[in-house]
Order: sequence, then C-alpha cells, then structure tokens
Amino acid sequence: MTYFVELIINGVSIGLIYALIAIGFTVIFKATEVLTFAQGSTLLLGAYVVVRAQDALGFFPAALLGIAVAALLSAAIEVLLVRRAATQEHISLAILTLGVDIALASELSRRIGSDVLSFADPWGNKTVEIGSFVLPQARVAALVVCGTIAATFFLVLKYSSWGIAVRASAEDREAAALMGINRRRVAGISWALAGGLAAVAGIFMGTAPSPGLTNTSNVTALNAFPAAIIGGLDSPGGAVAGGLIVGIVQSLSAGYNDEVAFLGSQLFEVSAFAVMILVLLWRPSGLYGTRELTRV
Amino acid sequence: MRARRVSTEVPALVVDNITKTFGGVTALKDVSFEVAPGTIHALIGPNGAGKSTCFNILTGVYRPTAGTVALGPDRLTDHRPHHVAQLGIGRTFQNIALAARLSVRDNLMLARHTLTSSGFLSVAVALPGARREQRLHQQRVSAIADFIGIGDLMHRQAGTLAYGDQKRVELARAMSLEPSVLLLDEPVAGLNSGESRHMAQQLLDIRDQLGISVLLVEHDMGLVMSIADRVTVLDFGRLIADGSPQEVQNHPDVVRAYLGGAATAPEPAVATPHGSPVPRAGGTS
Amino acid sequence: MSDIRRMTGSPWARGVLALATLAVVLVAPLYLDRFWLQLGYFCFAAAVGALGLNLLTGFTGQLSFAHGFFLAVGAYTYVFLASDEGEAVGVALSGASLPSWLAAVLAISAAGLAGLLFSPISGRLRGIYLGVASLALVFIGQHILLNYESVTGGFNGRDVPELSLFGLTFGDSEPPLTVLGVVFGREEWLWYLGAAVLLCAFVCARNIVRGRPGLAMQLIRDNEMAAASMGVDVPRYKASAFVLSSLYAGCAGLMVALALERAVPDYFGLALSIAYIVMVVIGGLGSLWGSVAGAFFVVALPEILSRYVGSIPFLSEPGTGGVGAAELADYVYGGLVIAVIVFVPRGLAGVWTSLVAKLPAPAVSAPAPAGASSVPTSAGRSDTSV
Repeated sequence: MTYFVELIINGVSIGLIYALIAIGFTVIFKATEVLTFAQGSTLLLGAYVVVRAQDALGFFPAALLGIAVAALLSAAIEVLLVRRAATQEHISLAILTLGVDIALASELSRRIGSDVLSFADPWGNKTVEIGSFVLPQARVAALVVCGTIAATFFLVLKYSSWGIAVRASAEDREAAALMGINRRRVAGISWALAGGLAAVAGIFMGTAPSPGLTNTSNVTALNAFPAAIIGGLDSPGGAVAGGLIVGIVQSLSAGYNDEVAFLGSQLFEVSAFAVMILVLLWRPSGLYGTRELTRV
Repeated sequence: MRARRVSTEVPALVVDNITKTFGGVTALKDVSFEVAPGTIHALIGPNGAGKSTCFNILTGVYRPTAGTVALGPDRLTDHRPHHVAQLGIGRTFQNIALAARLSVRDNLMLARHTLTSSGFLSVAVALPGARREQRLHQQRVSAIADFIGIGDLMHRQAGTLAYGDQKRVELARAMSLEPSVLLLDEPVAGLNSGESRHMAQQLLDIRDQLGISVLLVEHDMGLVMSIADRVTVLDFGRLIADGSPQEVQNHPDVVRAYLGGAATAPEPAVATPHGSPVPRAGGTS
Repeated sequence: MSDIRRMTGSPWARGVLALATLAVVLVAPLYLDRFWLQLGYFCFAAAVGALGLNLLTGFTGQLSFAHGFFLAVGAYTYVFLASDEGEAVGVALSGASLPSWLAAVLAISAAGLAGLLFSPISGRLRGIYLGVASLALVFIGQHILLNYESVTGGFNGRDVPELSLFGLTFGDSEPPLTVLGVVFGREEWLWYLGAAVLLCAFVCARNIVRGRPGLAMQLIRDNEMAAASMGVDVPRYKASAFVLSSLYAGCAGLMVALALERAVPDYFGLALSIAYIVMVVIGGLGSLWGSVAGAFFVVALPEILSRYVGSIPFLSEPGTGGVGAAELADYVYGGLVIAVIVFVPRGLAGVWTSLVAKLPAPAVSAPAPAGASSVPTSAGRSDTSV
C-alpha cells in the first residue's frame, strides 16, 4: 500500500512537471491558435543555460536566467516567425515550429553530447520523511513549486489584463480586437510565458533522483503532448488534469512494470499515448476542450 | 458508391414545425413553410431572426430539435450533409467556399461528385471508364458555366478571381450538382448594383428555363421584392409572415420587426430588372 | 498569373524533360558507382513515401506523424512473410517462408490495412488533434516493434530476404552477371526496380489528384463543410486518404528494407516521420513533383555531406563533438522548413511556378464561349495578365 501511495505521489510530482509544459501548449493555442512543436527544444535550451551558468552564478540565479532565455526564445519564435509567415494555415504554422525544433534540438543535442549534465540544485539526493513515507526531496520540491506556479498561473489567467485578453481573444478574435485588445502583445506574452514554464519544467525534470540533462531530455518532454490533448488543447485547466493523468499513469506503469509485462516491457514509455488515444476516441476534443463549432 | 440518378421532377420542399434550441437559447420555434416547385422563395428577417439557423437545418448542418424537412418523399433531417446533397439540394455559401487553388472547372467538377462513381482504383490506373466519365461531366459543367456566364474563366484559379466572379462560380457549382432545389445564402451580399441585377436575372432564368426551385436568404429587399414568388419572414425565431412580396410588405408584424413600430412599410429603392418599381405601401398592385 | 495551364509549363518542354530523365535513368548504372546507385535508390524509395504523405497532408490537409510506422509495417511484414524460421542474437524468429514477390504484395496490403484500422480515429478527429493522435501511433508502433520479438527481432532487428520477381533476383548473383562490360549486382537491379516503382507510384498519384477522388480530397482540405455540401462523404474520404498514404508508405518501407538488408525498429521511429514531413514541406505541400524533389534533397544531403566531410572545412567527423554532416543537415532542414513556411509556403514547387510564370506565355487556345448569355465579367477580360 505504501508503495502504491508513493507511486501516486511520484506520479503527481512528474504530472505537475508535464502540466507546466502542457499549460504552455494550451496558452499558445488559446492565444494564437497554433500548436507548437518547439516546446521540447525550448525546454532543452532553458535547462542547458542553467547548467552552463550555475557554476558562475549559482543555482537560483542561473535558473532565472534559463527561464528568461527560454521565454525570450519562445516569444521570438512568435514575433519573428509565426507572425510573419506567408501562410496562416494551422498545419503550416505547426510545421514551422517543427522546423525550429529540428534545428534547435540538433544543436543542443550536439553540445550536450553523451554527457549527463547535473543541476546544482539544493535538493540533490536527499530524502524527506512525511509520515510513514520516504520521498526524495527533489520530487517534493517539484510538486510544491510546480503546483504553486500552476496555481499562480491560473490566478493570472483569471484576473490579470493579459489573462482576460487571452480568454477574450480565444472566444472571438474580431470582437476582442474591436474592444481594443492588442493581439500582438497578447501573443508575445503568451508565447513567452509558455517558454518560461517549459524551462521550469526542464529544470525539475533534470533534478535528482532521475538522471540530469541529457541529449534526449526533450523527448521526455513529448509526454506533455498527450497531457495537453487529454485535457483539451484550449483548456489550461485541462492541461493540469491531463498532466496529472499522464504522470500518474506513467508512474504506476513503471512501478508495476513486472505485473503489466505482458503488454510489453517499458510500457510506461507509451502509456501516456495509449491513454490519449482512448480519451480521444471517447471525447474527440479532449476532456475539457471546446468542440469546434463550424462557422458556415 | 452508386451515382445518383437525376430526376426531372422537382418536388416541393416542405419545412414542418422546425424547432431548434442551443442549450437554453431557442433559435427557432415551430417554423413551417413550403417552397413550391419551380418558384423563387425568399427567407428574410432582421439580424438574429434565425435565418442562418434555419438555412443550416435545411442543408443538414444542424439537426433540428423537433420537426422535419422533406424534399418530396425524402426526409432531409434524417440525413447527414453529404446525403442531403445526394438528394438534390445544392447550396452556396455566404463566405465563398471554393477550393482556391483549383481551377474554376475543377470546382464545378466537384459538384458532380454524387453524379459520378469512379473510385480511387479506377482513377489511379486510368481505366477507360473513369476517363470517359470525366470527359462527359467536364462537357456538362462547361455548358452550365456558359449558362451562368463564366465560360471564359474555366481555367483560372478560383482564388484569384474577383469577388463577383467567385460568387457566380459558387452559383455555377451549386447548379452543377443538378439540384432540385437551390439554397442560396445571401447571393448578392457584397455585389454592386450592376452585379446584383445580373445575379437577379440569372436566378429568374434558372427558375424560368430550368424549373429549379430557389430558396434564398437575403437582406437586399430590392432583390427579394422583385424576384421572389413567395416570402417567409422570421423574427426572434418565429415565423411572422408568409406570402407574396406585396402581402408581406404590408404586413404590420413585418413592419414592426424591421422598423420597430413605424407606420409605413419599407420602400425598396432599386428598380427591378423588369423596369417597373414595386408598388408602394397603400398603392394598388 | 492565375491560369492553371500556364503554371505547369508548356507540354513540349515537359515531354523533352521526361525523355531526358528516362534516358539518364536507363544509362546511369553503367557509369555510376555503388555509392551513387544506392543513394539514388534510397531517394526513389523516399520519394514513393513522400508522395504518399503529400496525398494525405498536402492534398487532404491531414497532418500525420505516423508515416514512419506504416513504413515499418511494410518492411516487417515483408521480412516476416518472406523469411524462414531462425534465430539471431538469442532471439527465436518466426517466418512464413512465402515466395518473396507474394510477401511484397501482402506487405504493402498490410500497411494499407493498418491505415484502415486507424480510420475510426482519423475519421473522428479534426486537424491538429489528428496530428497528435498520429504521434501516438508512432510511439505505440515503436513499442510493438521492440516487443514483438519473434517477428521483428526486437531491438537488433533481423535480416531482410532478397526480392525475386519473375525469376530475376534483385541481388548479387554467382557468377556475376555483366551487361555491357559492367557488373550488375544488387545496386544496379535495385536502381531499376526503384525507378520503375517510383514511376508507377507517381503516375497513379497524379491520376488520383486530377480525378474525382483528388478533387474531393482537396476540397476537404480547404473547406470540409463545403465538401460535405457537395456530397463528399468526408470521414470516408479521410479514411481513404489514410489508407492510400499508408499503402505508399508500406511500399516505401519495403523498398528501404531491401536496401538496408537488415530491418531495425529504431530506424522507423519519430525521426523518420519527421524526415518525411520535412521532405513534403520543402518540396511543396500539394505538389507531387515537389515531393519527389524534397525526398531527393532530404535523403541525399546528409549522405553527400558525410562522403565529402574531409573536403568541407567546418564539418567534423561524427562523435567528435563538432558540427558533423548529420547536424548540418538538420540545421539545413530546420532552416529550410522555416524559410519555406515564412516566405514560400508552396516550397520548391512554389519557387518553380513563380519562375515559370515569368516566362513568356505559351500559345494556349481559349475555348470560344458557346452560351448566348455570357455576361462581361466585372473584372474585365484579363486571363493572360500576370
């Protein structure tokens, strides 16, 4: 039983990390109707900056720098590329972000090489005892920090002028523009936020006990896709739900790997995607996504 | 898929007690009217009256909450949009919905989809039957295009045409379906007066020479009053008048709906293609 | 420049180009060495796959990351059906020992069947959701490939039996066969096979695109509602587009397997699917020629860079941590995809049509208007202006 609960807590912790990336997807989609494939390499860039800067600056300042760089990159993608694209078809813009990801991920993978770069985080391999459970400090920290950031994000979404602008634009772009909402600023801020969130997620993904930053860390980030889709691509709240579902399913399938071995070894690698397919068969727009009403 | 057989009989389009609710909002309530075969029927009403909703139900985009729409013996409301097309309903779109990158001819050929049956395999290996079918139908759509007057645009990319021409391509495409009923969504929206007059004449020609029924949703009162045989007026989702243009024009509920209680009926300012202005309110027709 | 006929160039020029290409293809094995012949064959195989993906993404508007998976189905079905039972690296392998030509046909069909099985999903999902669902397929596919060891050989893969058609084996023969003084072995035979298959695939794709199904697919891409209003059964066509593209992918997978001689699951992963998307985008979504050109480019670039890595100053050998052929290729792909979408969304094909448009207009006979009611267009009679 303790094992099960530990797996759940572990799953929630990882789930919140995915949730941050997934929130990024949904915010970008809500604000600009683009599905971005560049979150993985943005995450990688942010984490890489932290790792390279932490010796000189210390962990926390380096973390802030990494987050800032990632946010800047993400905003730059929108302002310099997406906005200026000759076509605004959704599929083409998604492929545009894919192009960015291909080039950027390749370069970052090359620099990281076959190394495993570790973060100089304060939690390290230490554990903490809560009740009868022994948990890695890093996991608890991830849970607390990511949870707080997610909660703050929702407050911002609900009450800040940017948040209202995003939600208004998502409802009706023309009406929002007529109401004086500056779509460009909303777009830039949205993408920047998504980049920053991805960087935070990247840092936590690389902290102990799992191995640090490797040249395949951005592939792990791909699990945020099912999280965003399960929740519904235009629902940030759904992204959190989706992230938790993905995290818990992964944790359980890894933890009980032997019991589910008949479905194949290392099931946890695909469990998120399998769940996503099932959810999509039941609800084609995700759990909380708005179903497209065709305007005729 | 078997190709549809084109019938020469144009049945009546019967709208029977249509009700449509979206969540808590009632968009349409107990709307009934009939488009007699070979007539031009206009559906009008102020903004928000439910015309688009009604139109979308007729074309199979929405399913009504209650009521039915029948074309002859077929209940349209039981069918999905692509079946509705197969049953002989051709439609145009308010915002042009052509395939921009394809030629005008290809856009018209698309409407022949239900009238042809070549599948992937026969087309891929260029079976003689598939090629013959394509040739025959290309000839037919050429004739239709000439009738509408866009014959010289056949090889142009649809997306590069002027707005007025695109609207005519839309009409030609709907015609290429060999429909029994044409459903036109604001056919003269965005056209200047000359283009509107041509479109109006075109619709009259379609009715007179081809015997096809036409149902149009329109805001342009001049067009409606001059070419419609019958007018149905909606307001707040309910039918408030149904009759000849003159009857509807003088109907107090219609006047109230448009003008909010003014004493006189709306006067159309545009002269009709036939030359005689529509009689004013209070005058003899 | 809005006349469709102008955009494709004059028939004479195209005819001459076609003949010249045919001559080059026939004669090439007599002059090119094995590296180039094998590279060319991979290009042919990739072009077949790219045509399939373009039919789905460029012509029907459905984004798919699952292409690599369908290639895998084609490759492994062939390997399984054509192989005998055996064992490799401690893994027991099963095989159906069918004649290789039959295995090939069944392999392609299996890929199509896989596409069909995916259709309940492809029919229900719209646009972007479908793209991400296909992402799931590639991962689940990899999972199956790695675990279904008796068929796929697991992580290490398994050997690919040679293909024999009408008594001709597409491989090296003992004693060596010579034609016009040149030894004809695997690479030579595969070159001809690849070119022939690509030609058939291209012609079929072109016929489909120009015919009834192609028009329906393109309207689905541009406006699904309009397509339904024209009587197109949209979910069925989307499913058909998936099946069609997976048939092409299966064929490409089979071709690739024949060249690789060993099918390894790792090859058929997400990176392969992304490579195909890059091919189709650079070549031009919605252009069949573009897909062929894009495929050639994406396949050839890293190979050529690796071959000449010594002569290119800033390139380093793989594993040294510097910018190698693979990385440079990735930068180029990423950069080109970005450049295409931002500047020339029609890709190489778009660049080509703009160039063609600047040439003087070939003599095109306009059909004389037959109807009496031809109303002057409001835009004026101007279909020869650029």
